[in-house]
Amino acid sequence: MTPLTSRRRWPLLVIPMISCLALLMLVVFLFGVGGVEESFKRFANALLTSFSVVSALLAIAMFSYADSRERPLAPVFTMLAISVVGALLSFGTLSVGGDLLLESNGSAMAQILYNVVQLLVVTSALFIAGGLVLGTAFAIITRSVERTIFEEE
Amino acid sequence: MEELFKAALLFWLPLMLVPTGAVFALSRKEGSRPIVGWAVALISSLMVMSSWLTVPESDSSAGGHLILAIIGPTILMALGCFLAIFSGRIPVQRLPVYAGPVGFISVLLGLAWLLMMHLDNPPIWRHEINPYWLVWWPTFLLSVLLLSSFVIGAMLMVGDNRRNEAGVMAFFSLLFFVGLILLLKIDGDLTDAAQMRAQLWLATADAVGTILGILFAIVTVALVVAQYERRLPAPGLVSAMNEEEKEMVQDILNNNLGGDQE
Repeated sequence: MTPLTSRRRWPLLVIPMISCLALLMLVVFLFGVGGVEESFKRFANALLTSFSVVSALLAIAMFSYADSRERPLAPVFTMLAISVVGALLSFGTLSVGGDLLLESNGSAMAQILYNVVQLLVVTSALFIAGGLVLGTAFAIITRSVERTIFEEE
Repeated sequence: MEELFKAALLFWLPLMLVPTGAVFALSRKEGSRPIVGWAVALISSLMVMSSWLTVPESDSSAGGHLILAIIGPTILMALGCFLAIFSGRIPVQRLPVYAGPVGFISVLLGLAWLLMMHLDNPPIWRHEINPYWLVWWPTFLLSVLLLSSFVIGAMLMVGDNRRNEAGVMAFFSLLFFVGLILLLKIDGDLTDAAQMRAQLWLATADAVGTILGILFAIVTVALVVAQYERRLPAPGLVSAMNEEEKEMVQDILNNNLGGDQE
């Protein structure tokens, strides 16, 4: 068997997933997608919101890193790096998509609050789906035929 | 202004207190901290879920309404997975044999519940379908499909001779795929197939954006940490042990090796 660390086996992880997504998108296109004019705005809002929220959480975690490694400036540098990347991402998405406000939200504040709740909804869907898939996988594994680890001589 | 304050107090503050309470509870095992932490998290969760009653004028309360709507099937599926896993061949605390089928039935019931919500009875908020349900449901279906295909790959790559298990998982993934295709073609009572296709496309945009955002944040922080770690000086040489330290080590070894002691 090819060893785990072999580079040849890594595509096994992503090929089934990408094939499934491609097939699904093909089916959606064949059936007709419909009105999806807001898809880039949804993508950009999701990208910027998840980046901001996760960055804030990681910046808080950097305070404990700074304490344990005696690097008091670590949180400051982290926030600086996050601000630079965030500004680049915002500039990139705004220059491609223009105004990022969705039709249903009249102001930037309303859009931000909507994005935070949407992030909660999307992450809850991802976590519940992950739990279901992992639970099913482990249930299948623990119910499979018992295998002997050592053969008696 | 009063509406904003009410929304902040009855939705946003409890929403922030849920993870805060959980982190507070997990940070220490002794004392009353875990009890206080979990109590805060539980009460805050209940406040978020009841926000559609306490602050109905806030648009954000639709999120709390959605969480309340999906909590039943989620608990059913989680319980089902627990029973199915721990009734299998595990070395300790194995559950009775009948727990396995009950677990699988429980998972199926949870999925059937969600399916019925799509076809017949979606969560209604302000006399319309909850807008976040139209985000959650396609994202959930898409995530299950993609994650199960990822797990198939992981079983084949990491697992030692796990082809049979990967085959069963592929069957599970295929069932979801066929189910999803049917949902993209069949109209529900309140959700039509065309709307479902559009929502699936938008859910893909949401999911990809969210995952990329999380990855960008992690990579940025990782780069800062890597820079700091690279600049750390090499640890200094430690002087050799003196006689007293050697005796101490010898004592510890003698106390813990052997097997002739009580």
